[in-house]
Amino acid sequence: MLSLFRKPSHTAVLEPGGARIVVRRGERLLSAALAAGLDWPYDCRVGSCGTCRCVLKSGRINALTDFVYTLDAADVRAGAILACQTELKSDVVVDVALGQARSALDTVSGTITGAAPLTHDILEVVINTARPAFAAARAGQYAELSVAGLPPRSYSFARVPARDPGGALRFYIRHIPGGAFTDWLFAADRVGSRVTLSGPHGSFYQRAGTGRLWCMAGGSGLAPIEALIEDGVAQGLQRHCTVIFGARTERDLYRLDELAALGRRWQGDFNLVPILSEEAAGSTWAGARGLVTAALEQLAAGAVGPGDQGYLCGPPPMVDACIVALEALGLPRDAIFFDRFVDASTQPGGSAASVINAERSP
Amino acid sequence: MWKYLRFGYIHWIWLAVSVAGLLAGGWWTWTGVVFLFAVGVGGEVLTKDWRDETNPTYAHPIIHDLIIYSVVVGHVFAVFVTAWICASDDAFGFGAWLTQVLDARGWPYDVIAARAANNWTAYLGAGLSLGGLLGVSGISAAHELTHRTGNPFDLWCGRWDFALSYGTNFATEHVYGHHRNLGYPGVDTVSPKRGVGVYEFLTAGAMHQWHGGFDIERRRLDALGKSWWSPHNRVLHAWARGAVVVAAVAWIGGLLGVVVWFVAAAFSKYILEGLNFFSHYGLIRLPGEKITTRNTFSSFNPLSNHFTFNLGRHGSHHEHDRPYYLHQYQPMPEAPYGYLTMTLVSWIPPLFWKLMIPMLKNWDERWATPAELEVIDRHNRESGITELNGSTAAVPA
Repeated sequence: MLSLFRKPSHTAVLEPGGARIVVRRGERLLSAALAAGLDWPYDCRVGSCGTCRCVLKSGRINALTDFVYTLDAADVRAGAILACQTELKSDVVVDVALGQARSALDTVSGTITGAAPLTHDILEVVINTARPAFAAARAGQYAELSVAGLPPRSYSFARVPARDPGGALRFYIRHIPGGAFTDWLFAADRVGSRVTLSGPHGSFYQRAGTGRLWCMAGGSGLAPIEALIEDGVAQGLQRHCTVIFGARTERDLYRLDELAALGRRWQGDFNLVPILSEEAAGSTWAGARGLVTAALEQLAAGAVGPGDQGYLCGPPPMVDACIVALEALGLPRDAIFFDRFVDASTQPGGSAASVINAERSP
Repeated sequence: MWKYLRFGYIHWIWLAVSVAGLLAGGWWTWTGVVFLFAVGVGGEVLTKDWRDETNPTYAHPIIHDLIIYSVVVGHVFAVFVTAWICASDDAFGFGAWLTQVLDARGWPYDVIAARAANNWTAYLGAGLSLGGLLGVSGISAAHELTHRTGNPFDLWCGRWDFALSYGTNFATEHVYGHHRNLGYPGVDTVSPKRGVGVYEFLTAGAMHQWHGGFDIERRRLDALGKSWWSPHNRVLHAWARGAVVVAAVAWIGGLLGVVVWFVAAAFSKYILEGLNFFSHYGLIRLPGEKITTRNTFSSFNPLSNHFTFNLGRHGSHHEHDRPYYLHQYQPMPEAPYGYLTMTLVSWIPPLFWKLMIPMLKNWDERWATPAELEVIDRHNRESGITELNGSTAAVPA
């Protein structure tokens, strides 16, 4: 009866940052935050893993479980709570490390333990680090690699580091003739060589949402897209996904079987379209021909819905053309995320600050 | 109304026929366990292809709560009746009262004479009937209610429901251990590694759960600066509640009552562990992966879910902390038969492997990530199950 007189909802202010979310009566703080699209860390949602921990600075809550099962007692006395087991009894202010804050930068040394050709000019490079590193990196982000005596270069993780059972880091690296780093890498078998890595960097990663993912990759731009898809499978993401993979000729395609296998595990619709821009007419290639944008316009015309997002990775001309095409198809600009793979070896100064993903082009 | 009552009717019918069978005596005491196999397992097999993929919303969730409370009361009554038929006294004058009521309705039946004619087969039937009821209906209701840690009344009901079959460490280990560690091989007590057999799971796994419950409670008490023997020890509370149940059974039904109740408690554990065994068998989760519906074999057979308070929608239960009626349908790994059938099959290794190997292959093909397959590949080799060779071939590392 008393509930009739209670406020139907309360506001939670999330520090630092000051984001505000409305938490309805009977709703959990974590559920409300996730529904609002915030990247609040969590694993289990039943109050046992402790990942959604935050600190109550002011206000009153209803604790749905005994936090001491999961959190340190002193921490609980200092105000730590589990967002998944918290209902609000008043407006509150909480301190929480949202997604952004997780990506603390790290530098670590590693050894190249594998270098296998994916195509005639792209290597899959596997690096094992001296200690576990980049656990906070998200699908789509990248690390900076440097070898003694050479300028550092940036490469996207082809798999979220935390997902690799052996703790290895995987990169797809294309040879840029004349580029100092890749000339060195491709000149000989570099297994056993020492590399220094720093990261994770980049604001290209999968955002919360419900609509279709329109993923477009060119050349070695497949790496972060593949990481994103594998991550989506692991997280049980229930969204539809279209992947368009652009390359010049058939010999520039790679990882198609692996992508198809990931597609079978994807929970929503999944379609993968390889498209070739310079395949010789009359070759045996039976798939699509043309630029990535041609495949996009054909697949997406009339099919772009509210909540859809675009994820683009590859050479700048491809990325720019895809942004224009997606906007023309009705996708708002703020729903398009991209990583331009700029070739740092052609830039003045090589690794200028403005050059994010250096020394790569398809 | 059906969308509410579907979670009650089976339990009410089952409770009614079980109690009637217990009171009728002789071979009738087997009614409850025959119901489990004939209606439960048999029904699931007959309705193998029936699926309920609906996700209804409910304007009156209180009805669901009243249903589950009524079923818990039924469990208490079933334990009382089981103890009562083992007695020579007429506790609370129950027999005299019931005989009189039946007589007044024009159905003369002397329940006291009926119980006096029982022999050991009747007592065995009574133990198994009560055990089947407590193992399926009892544990699924108690499981649901002990997950509601934010609601003291529900938690209290669930704990007493567990106590009816001497459930102790499970409630603590399950919520704060299993749900946290789901799919971590060697850490989660209820995700058997590929190759582990059911009898190994029953011994080593049960010990693991047992220790897990004690350890979790000890950590909590240490954190609060309280001693193990503190009145705040919830595992000891559970043991004490179990002792109260045994004492009550002994008081009503004497030593024979305790023996029959022990058969029931043992059978209910057997059922619980069979369900635990198959529902996460051979599945893994890598550190840092969120718990999703992928980490469980679920069932969308309606009969199965009516018998178990929707526990067949098990993957959804792991992904979200929601009451049973809100466990959602979405595509997720599934068992080929309902939960009662799979539980039974768990105890018959040749049948178990026949069903489980295709389930694992399907999981590897359809649900595992490439990173997980690298670990699974090793587990497959270590398991010695040659049929699993090549299940990870779809995605080369």
